[in-house]
Amino acid sequence: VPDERRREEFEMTALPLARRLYATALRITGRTDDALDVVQETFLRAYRTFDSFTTGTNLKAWLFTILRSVSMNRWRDERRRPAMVPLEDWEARFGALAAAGPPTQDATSEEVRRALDGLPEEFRLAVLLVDVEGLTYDEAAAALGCPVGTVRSRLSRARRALFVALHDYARKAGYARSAP
Amino acid sequence: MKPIDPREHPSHDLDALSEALDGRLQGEGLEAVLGLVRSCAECRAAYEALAWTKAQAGRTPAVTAPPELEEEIRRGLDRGAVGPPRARTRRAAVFAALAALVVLALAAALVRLRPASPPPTLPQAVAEDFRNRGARTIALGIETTDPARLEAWLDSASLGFPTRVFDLRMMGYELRGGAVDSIAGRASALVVYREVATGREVICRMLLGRLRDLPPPDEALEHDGIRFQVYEAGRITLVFWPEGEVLCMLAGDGDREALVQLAFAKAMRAQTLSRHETHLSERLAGDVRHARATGGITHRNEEVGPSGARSASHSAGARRS
Repeated sequence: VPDERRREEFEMTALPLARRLYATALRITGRTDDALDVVQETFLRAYRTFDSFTTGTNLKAWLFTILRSVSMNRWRDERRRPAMVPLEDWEARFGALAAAGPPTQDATSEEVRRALDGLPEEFRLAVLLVDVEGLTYDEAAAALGCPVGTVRSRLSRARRALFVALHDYARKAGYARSAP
Repeated sequence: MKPIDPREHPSHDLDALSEALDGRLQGEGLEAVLGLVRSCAECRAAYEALAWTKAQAGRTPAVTAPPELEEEIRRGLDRGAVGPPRARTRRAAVFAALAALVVLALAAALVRLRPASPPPTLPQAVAEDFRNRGARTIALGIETTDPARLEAWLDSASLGFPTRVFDLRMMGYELRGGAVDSIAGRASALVVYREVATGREVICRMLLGRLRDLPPPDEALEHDGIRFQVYEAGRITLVFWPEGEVLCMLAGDGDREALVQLAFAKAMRAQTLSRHETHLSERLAGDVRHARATGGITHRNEEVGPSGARSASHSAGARRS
């Protein structure tokens, strides 16, 4: 395939996804300049290996796979991964708080961001890809490089932990129901 | 209500409740979860907590990508740069910043000397694109005469907005196919129709945008409460109209009035479909309120036979993926 045509084909199929990739990159890295770097590198890598991409397969999942790889390498390189609260601590409280019922008000977007940031990375990514980006389990599994069953389990555990974290914020704000 | 007991409900029960929220369960798997939700108050509470959490996750702060994102990516591809800019040394970054300042100062001086020509407006960009493509040489990502197939294909591109493709054969236009591209820096769904009588092609585009951000039109029309803006660019006619958050447009170089009528027809169909969807969504919301009031999640269409066997479509927030 001539370079020009290859480039045109790549831009036509991949570029429309740039903004969604940027949004996820920003949610992962938390910094706009890092997000831009990550997306640029993702597209560069994708373009270099575009010949190996099979037309008709899932381009979105493929790009998210590269994005995750680039983001994780960056994070490892810069040792900026924040300390995480052990997931088990949150999960253990889920049953009691769920019995009380969800808070009476929605969380603020900032509370959601903080709660998500507190999750271990692989759990946070599962929520970002499925609940925020709307990827299917299969697409998320491809992007995360794990079996579909693992995505299912991570999502379930992440949602329980998120519920507890958001419940804690709601209690402080005075709109949580009391646990029985 | 007592908390959910992990000895009675192991983790896989909670995983199944969570999975049901994503619409992945069908048949026996879905029935098992619905059984849990109906018969066990703690499971119902857990389901509601997980559903609330899933809804909250969608409330993450909105992200606005820089307007020049696509251009930055293109420049990166042009350079074929290896390694991200952050790998630069601090000193290199300082030099780069100083160089950028110098460039900016020069650019500002040039602007004073000669005003820069403004970027093309969306109608100009669409007309230019139509002209460049040539009516008969439009490259398509998918060739099909089936609107449902094209709609599914566009959906899979995840443009971030809904795309609707209609069968316009009654209007004398046959579907050829579609593509995804970018116009004026915005992701766009492109649908190509061919006028059966003349063989001329008409391009329909959908992208995120607002009618009020467009320049003043050559003609503004209103049809059944919808505003249409018409632009002329030589032999090319462009018709723009809104469908929710999506800006739709038709471009063609055939009969102007026929194109306007086609735009009316498309917009009317979209409006009818939208009203139908709103009606359905209100009915579903009614179902949920009813389920909550009666203490369980039920099937609207559930039919319980004499033996107690059910035949029903699913609900409980479960949708098939």
